[in-house]
Amino acid sequence: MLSFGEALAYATKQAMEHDARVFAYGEGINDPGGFFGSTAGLKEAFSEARCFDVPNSEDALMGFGIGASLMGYRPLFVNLRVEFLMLAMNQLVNHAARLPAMSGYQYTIPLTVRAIVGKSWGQAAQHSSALHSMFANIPDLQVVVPSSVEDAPRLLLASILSDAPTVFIEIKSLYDCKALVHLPIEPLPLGKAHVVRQGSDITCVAISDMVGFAQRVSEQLVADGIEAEVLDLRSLAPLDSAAILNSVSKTKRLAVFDIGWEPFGLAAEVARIVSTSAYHRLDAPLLSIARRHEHTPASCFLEEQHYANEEHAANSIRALVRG
Amino acid sequence: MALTNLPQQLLRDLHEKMFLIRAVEERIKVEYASRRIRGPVHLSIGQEAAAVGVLHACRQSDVCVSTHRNHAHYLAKGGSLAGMVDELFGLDTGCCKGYGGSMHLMDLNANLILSSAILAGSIPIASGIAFALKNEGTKRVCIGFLGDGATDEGVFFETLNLAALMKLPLLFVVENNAISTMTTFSKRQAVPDVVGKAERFGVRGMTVDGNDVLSVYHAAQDILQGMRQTHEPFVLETVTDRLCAHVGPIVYPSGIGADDTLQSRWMREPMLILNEKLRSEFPDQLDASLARERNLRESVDQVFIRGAQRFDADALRLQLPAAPPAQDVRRV
Repeated sequence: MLSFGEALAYATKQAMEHDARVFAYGEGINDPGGFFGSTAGLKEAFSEARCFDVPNSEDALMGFGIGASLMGYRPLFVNLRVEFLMLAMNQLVNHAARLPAMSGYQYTIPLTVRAIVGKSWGQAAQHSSALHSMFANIPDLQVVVPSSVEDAPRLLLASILSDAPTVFIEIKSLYDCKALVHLPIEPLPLGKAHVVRQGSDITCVAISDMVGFAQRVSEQLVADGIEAEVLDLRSLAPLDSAAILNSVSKTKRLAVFDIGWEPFGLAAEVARIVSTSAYHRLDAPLLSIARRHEHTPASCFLEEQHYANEEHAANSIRALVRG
Repeated sequence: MALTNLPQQLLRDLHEKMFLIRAVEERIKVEYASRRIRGPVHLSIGQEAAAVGVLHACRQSDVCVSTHRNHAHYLAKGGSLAGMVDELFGLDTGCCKGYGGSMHLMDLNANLILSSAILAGSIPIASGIAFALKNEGTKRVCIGFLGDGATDEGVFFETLNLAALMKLPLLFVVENNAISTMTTFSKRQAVPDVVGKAERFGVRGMTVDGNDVLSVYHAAQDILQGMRQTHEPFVLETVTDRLCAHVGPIVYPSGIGADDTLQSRWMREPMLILNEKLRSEFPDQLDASLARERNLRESVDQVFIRGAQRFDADALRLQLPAAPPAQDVRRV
């Protein structure tokens, strides 16, 4: 059994063993906690030359990773909170994502950027926002959103081995999970969704820890005779549109479970995909399950109301399916 | 250094590169009017000595990054002229296959691997390149060009710190033309002292006359030689003048720059200074020098004429690929 953090550390170690051009860096990467265990043991295994602490300079550090990428390295830039990537957006968006195109695709930027979304425990507005939709809007930037201890190391390995710049978004709630992980880690193909639960009554498209949320909601619905299909997208860019359309063509109903905000978010994108396809008419309105469109409050009483609620989601699906 | 001790060949080479860049940019002015070049062009006229002096002193294997004002760096580093001209015309034979344009010139064969049009954008990237070069165990260095405008940006100071801390073989060449678009240096920084600031971060630096290609060349030679031993960063400030407007092939707007006139700048421009030296040191070479200029101008014209012909014939046939060839790529 490995924890989420241990599984990520294992995948990183395997990538670094596999390819001498892989190195990891981040603010406090070699602290005793080791990014909740996800970078633990790397310095010991590969020396500080390949796993090193850095100044608090996100903008420069993102550019640093791009420069090393241009020279053939495969850097892994680890960030404790996704909000700190806002300090590096010029390098991430204007450079990492765009340089391959600006060069006429003469080179690639095989840079992987890990970032953690700190969900709950009073993390408040600046330590718990989910910014994946913002990243997924940018051409040529891969966005990976793992949902489980089993998938995360396989997707991380795939991200590091991939030639495109990748933002790898981990939600802190998953760090409490443990699971049996098959070793050595086999990379998963990016852009392939995973049917984690089969069903015929409604398609639940989900990402990150909302996959587990959707699974638990689906189990509640069994007693009502409702069989939900849960589709884990695994990555937002590339996005497995075919898997969404395939499932919807069977169920004719659709619910989208997002870790982020609704406006211009995952539900909006899934709705675009389904509604612009002439052959996939829904029998019911699309149901969107997401956090409230507000900045996360710190208070545990308010925080509970901010995030989506399983009971409420189950009731909404019941109402939708019964028409 | 007494000029009489200079090898004639060095002056000839510097003159050739300086004149090539000037001739190309003068031709861009002409071609812009024909509307075959569509897009912002940031001319280097007046600032060529920094590019030629530093990049003539470096090795082909040294890696260079540049900015929106990259024409001089690109050509001085040995970038393909045809690749540049075709890129300006938006052709798929351009150095960025038509995806980059004037502001993003690059040539992997010449090791000028990117030009960013975001102010200070290429600065931190240069640190990652320098890290890779240091890890290689060779004596290659990374050279990053920037203007004084980019030294307003925080990432310049972040990168100075990173480069000093990690002891990266990174040479920043700050072309200080004392103006950013139309805002003078003294209106932007309380202490407009590039080298002084770099030194406080632990990065050595020096200032040279950026209009005198020989001064720049000799300074760069010493600096690069030292850097190949120490692997440590350096900031070379070249004090120079921009003789055109920030963007577009138009003349410098009047009333900008405050303390001197455009005329006085043209009296100390780098081609003039270099030609004076050639004339005084090697008067017998005057005919040869003029002949060289004629030949260069002719060959530049030929490249532009071929590009223009292709533009007229092919422009309508160019198509975007169905999907960007994201995986079908090669690395530097």
